[in-house]
Amino acid sequence: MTNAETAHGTATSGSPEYVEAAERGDLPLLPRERLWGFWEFTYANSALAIATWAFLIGGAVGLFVGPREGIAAIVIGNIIGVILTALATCVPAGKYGVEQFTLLRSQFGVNGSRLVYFLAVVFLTMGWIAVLGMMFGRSIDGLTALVSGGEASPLGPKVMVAAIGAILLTWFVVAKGPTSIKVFNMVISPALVLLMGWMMYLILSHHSFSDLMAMKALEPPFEDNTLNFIIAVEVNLAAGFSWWPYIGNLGRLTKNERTAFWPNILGIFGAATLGEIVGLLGSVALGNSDPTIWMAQVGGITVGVIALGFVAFANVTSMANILYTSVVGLRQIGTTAMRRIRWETLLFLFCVVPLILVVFYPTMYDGFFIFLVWTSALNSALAGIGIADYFFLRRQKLDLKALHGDQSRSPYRFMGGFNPIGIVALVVGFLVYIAIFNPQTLESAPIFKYLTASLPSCLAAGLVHFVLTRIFAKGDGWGNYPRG
Amino acid sequence: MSETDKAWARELERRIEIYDEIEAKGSWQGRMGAVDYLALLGLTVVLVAGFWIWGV
Repeated sequence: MTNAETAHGTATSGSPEYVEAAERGDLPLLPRERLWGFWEFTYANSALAIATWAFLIGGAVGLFVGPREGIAAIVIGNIIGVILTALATCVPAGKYGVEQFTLLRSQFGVNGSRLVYFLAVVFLTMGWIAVLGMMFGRSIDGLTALVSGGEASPLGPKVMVAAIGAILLTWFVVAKGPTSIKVFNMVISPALVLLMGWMMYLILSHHSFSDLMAMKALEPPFEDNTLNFIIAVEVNLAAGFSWWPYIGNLGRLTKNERTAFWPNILGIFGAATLGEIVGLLGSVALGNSDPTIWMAQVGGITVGVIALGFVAFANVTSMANILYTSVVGLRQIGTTAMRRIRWETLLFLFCVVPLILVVFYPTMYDGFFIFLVWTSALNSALAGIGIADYFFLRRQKLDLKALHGDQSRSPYRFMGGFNPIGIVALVVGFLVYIAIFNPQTLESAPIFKYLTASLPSCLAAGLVHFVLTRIFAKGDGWGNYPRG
Repeated sequence: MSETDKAWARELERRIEIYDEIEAKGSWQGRMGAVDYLALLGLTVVLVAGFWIWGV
């Protein structure tokens, strides 16, 4: 099925069918068709950022550093990560109203953008669905242990069954369509803000602020405190860069570049930082980085049951949001055969890998930050390439016909739909990252303490893309880069 | 090319022309300018330096 067929054959110029097709990403959205101003976008991306993963990331930071250094690491890592990601994705999407992975054709070619989608979106989303499913399972396990007076068993069969149930429930909710997700969001997001405020109140009622700030890290891996701090910054850079697959397609729904960019600072950065700080303080004050454990201890049985029950279902909302966004994108970049697969079936196929992870790799939850940091090796390089290509090589001008027209004759066709320069730059960025910092073992090169790993990776990928494009990207079909 | 494809191509062309017109007139509303980029640079420097000094 072609894009034209999905928009109905009888549609006339400017008709609602074409507006719907533009909203889906098949056509560029016109400025007057875009719905969100500054506050609408701020609310939308706050709702995305205020999620249970913020508690998890905050808890992971508490493993490496105490609350004072942790708050500093959270702010520093997130502001840099979010700004670089929003520059690469939201600014062009806000200007032209183009779907993010269609826009990526100008950097990687039509097939290259498909490859990037699989590397950056599919793996990231599947990993997060598995982790959040396990968090649901552990919340239910902790809750039943509280009620029965027994011991929680984080790797027991109850957790696995509940995690599988959470993933299947998410599949069911998303299969029902975006309206059911919207209802979940409208209830869960404001309630999560209240829960964070409540948790903060409970923590501060047991410990003074100065006592909290003087507390030590839970399990610092090295004796060198500066190295531990930079690892905490790296985890938060990874969290900031991890928005790369998602925020461009939200930014295109805003009225212009400014409204596509600035709300990320208030919404994504502000909300994620708040949630992570609560996760950090809770974990360090109560001695466990797992929010499903410390929430059970923070305020007695009643508070624990309410908080864990709520967190369990908040996970379903987070999972539903990323599953929906990813599968919509998958259909957008997919082949005709993929578009023919039924919506429910495609969603289920997407859930198979998370289900396997839940059953065979339940310890992934405890080391989830390792998975998060691995994703930064790709996302930071993608941000660098995006900034180099859009701002410095193309000087903020894109050819909309080349993006949306016949790709076999497009100036963005490169070699068989792949831009080898973009792909080489991505590989270089990835290699630079793992040469400086190994997320699996936390081993690092001496330069890591001064530069982190994400920033050199971002810079290297952008620089390689810029230089190789200037030298080699010449002639018809090689990106139509401006000269002189 | 079918009628559906032709109509689709016309709609795409119409949308592209609207953007071309905005480009030609230079009438991009809400465009990120030097003030925005300086402000975000300043914000980043203040937050990074401020929290580094406070936290480390």
